Amino acid sequence: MRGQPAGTFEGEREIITNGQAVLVIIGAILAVTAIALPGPAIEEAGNDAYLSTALASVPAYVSAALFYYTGRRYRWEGPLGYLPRVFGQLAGKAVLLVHLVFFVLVAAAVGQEVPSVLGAVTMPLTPPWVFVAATVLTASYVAYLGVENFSRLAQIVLPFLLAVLLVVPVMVGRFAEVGYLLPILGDGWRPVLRGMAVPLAIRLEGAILFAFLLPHMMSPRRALRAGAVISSALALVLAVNAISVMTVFSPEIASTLQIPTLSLARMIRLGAVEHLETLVLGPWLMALMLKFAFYTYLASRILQAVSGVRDWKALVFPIAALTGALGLYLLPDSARLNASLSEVRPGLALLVAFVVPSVTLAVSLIRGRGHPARQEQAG
Amino acid sequence: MITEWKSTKDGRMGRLLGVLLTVVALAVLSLTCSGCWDRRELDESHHAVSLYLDWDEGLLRVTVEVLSASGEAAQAAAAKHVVISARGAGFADAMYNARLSSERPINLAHVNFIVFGGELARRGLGEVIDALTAHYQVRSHILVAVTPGNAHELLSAELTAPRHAEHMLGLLEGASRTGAGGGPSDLLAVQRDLANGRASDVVLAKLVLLPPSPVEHAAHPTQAGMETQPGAGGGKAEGEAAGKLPIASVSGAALFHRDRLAGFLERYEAEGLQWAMARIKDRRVWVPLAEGGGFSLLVSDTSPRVTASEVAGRLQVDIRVRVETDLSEMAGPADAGSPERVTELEALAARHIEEQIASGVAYAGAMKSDPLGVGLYLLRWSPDLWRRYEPAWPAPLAEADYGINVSVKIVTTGILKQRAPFGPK
Repeated sequence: MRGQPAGTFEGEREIITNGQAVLVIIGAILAVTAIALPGPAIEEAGNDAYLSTALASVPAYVSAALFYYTGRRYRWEGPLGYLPRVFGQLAGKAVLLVHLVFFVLVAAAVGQEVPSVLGAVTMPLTPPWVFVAATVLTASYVAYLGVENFSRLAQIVLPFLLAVLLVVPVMVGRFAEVGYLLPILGDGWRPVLRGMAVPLAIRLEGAILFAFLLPHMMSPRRALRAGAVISSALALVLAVNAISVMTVFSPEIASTLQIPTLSLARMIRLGAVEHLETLVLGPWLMALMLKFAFYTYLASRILQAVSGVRDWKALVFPIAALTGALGLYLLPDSARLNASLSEVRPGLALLVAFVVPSVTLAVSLIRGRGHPARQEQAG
Repeated sequence: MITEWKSTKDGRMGRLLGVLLTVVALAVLSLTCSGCWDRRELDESHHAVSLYLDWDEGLLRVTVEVLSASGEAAQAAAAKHVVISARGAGFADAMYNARLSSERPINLAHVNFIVFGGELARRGLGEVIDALTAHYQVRSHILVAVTPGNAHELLSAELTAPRHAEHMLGLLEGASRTGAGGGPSDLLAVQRDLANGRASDVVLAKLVLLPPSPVEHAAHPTQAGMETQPGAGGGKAEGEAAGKLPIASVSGAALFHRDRLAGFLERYEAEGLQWAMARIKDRRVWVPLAEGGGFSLLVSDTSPRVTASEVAGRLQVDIRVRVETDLSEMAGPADAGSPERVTELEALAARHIEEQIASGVAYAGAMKSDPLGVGLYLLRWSPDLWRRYEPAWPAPLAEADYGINVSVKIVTTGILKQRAPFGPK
């Protein structure tokens, strides 16, 4: 590995199955959306918000396809490998820096989700830095061990998180009133499309992760199928989640909730047994750690590719610590955190998930870079 | 240094770093397991079981009934409850002041019901409901009720169970199930109705203090154990001799327009509205006969449906209710000896319930309130119609035509096929 050009995976390619990649990406998306998502969509689309959350999967899949076709032209190298080849070393590294900024900013927000949620529902007196420190230490260790490691973690965590997200609506079903979903499309499609902004931004993050996991997939040629599974699963789970939140609380109340899914779990009452929201918090926290770890890992790989540092592992902890501190500094309260989710991340995600891959693919096609035929053989 | 970093596979330093990170991560995570700064043992808190909220000279008075799990109090728990009361500019402020007059922090995670005083309800519950739902310990499914006077005075009611709160909770749960108190009055239902704006209004159970029972009471263990901490507003009602306390009861319902109390319904009208508002179980209906006597039905299930439309330029509200019952008592000429007689009883019961519904609807109309959610129906099913009616809502309800149609099914006539021979025929 030593002496190898930065930005390639040859010789150190960690392999995960396509199924593991699906779980990692779904986990990374659900870590945020499960807690925060229906709110911003409901604010715009009202009782039709479930359509916004479901339909956001479509453009995200298109973005994943862009990454797929670009990656296919470059032997499944992923953005780390092909960006310097498409744009040249300098411009390629500049584009990679944009990705680095994206991952660090999103990870900073992810790190702040923990104090924002736990501080609101269980531990208001605990300083935020305690939660952030715990996240940074745990996630940096997970990231340090590499893709295979947190893919296995995803295999353990995801079934729990998915089960919780699908069981909670059933357990609070007696409070649900389906009438809150009416009228369907009362104000037409425009609010539904506006309501897609935040769900789409978060879903596009999944497409970006898809691009960076492509080189690690055991069968990259089948990656589009994996992308379809991810899109469908997320559309289903998040639409169910949005419907459940709206029918229990009403769209008006749901749009005011800071943590709608957790509020939903707080409604669960099994006879005398209450306070079962910890069952949601556990898998959610693990998924959040996973997401933070994944972003830290990717930021370390990009920084290695840009800076020329030999071992990306040396960068994991400094980046995680910096990201955690950045979150505490930039997003010290839930109001700023919410604003970043609805105002900053959609633009960033569009840039990295649509503009960059579209331009990359276009430049690649125009300049005739890449070798589709050869890489087909390699795949 | 960094450029010579080695991976875990071939470097000792990497392995050491891994072990170090694991140890530190586990150490930090273990801090959060105990709750960090929020850690508090069970016996270090007062656990509130009920809240009584009043408007008191420009401030919000919060009266909290608490159970204490600590040593001494735990031993006497069956015969002791503690009341803490304080005022503040808002709910959080009042709770903080209550904390200052309490020996322990007050935990609201186990509150079972909330009672609002009449004056507070007339001023509007919106802000208080908002504050309650924003509190991270308060649950949304707890029951809420209104009392015409001061809520905290209910704490002076006669206690028929060892614990006052359990007794009151039982009253409210019974009222919620049977509809005697007007509807499923939990915090979530109130929140949802308030959030609908004009489209529907809240109906809450009305808790009242009835005159003292004529039965003399010996020193009741619970009563003897009641104590009021400094600043408390609870305790015995004025002028009441020991052993003769008023009785708490659910008696009708409180009708709101938006978040403000519009008026109180008597039990008859409240039950009338409830037939059309939600499913009812376990209610008993006495249907009087013109010739004297009557018969009693036990309601096992209902299926209400309220629809609205515009017919010839007038708003038409249709209320249809299907009621499943069991016949449980007959007096006077009432008889269920043949299918024809049962059908007659069903028809009589249906007319009786229709009259009760009409009475409740008329009262709600007079109070300019929309407890049936007719506006909500229009909003969902006829948005165009709703847009036209919304500015003046609920005034159009007063001019609406109502079609009330109740069908009653008597499923069983009890253990006897017909009346036993020893009653009058």
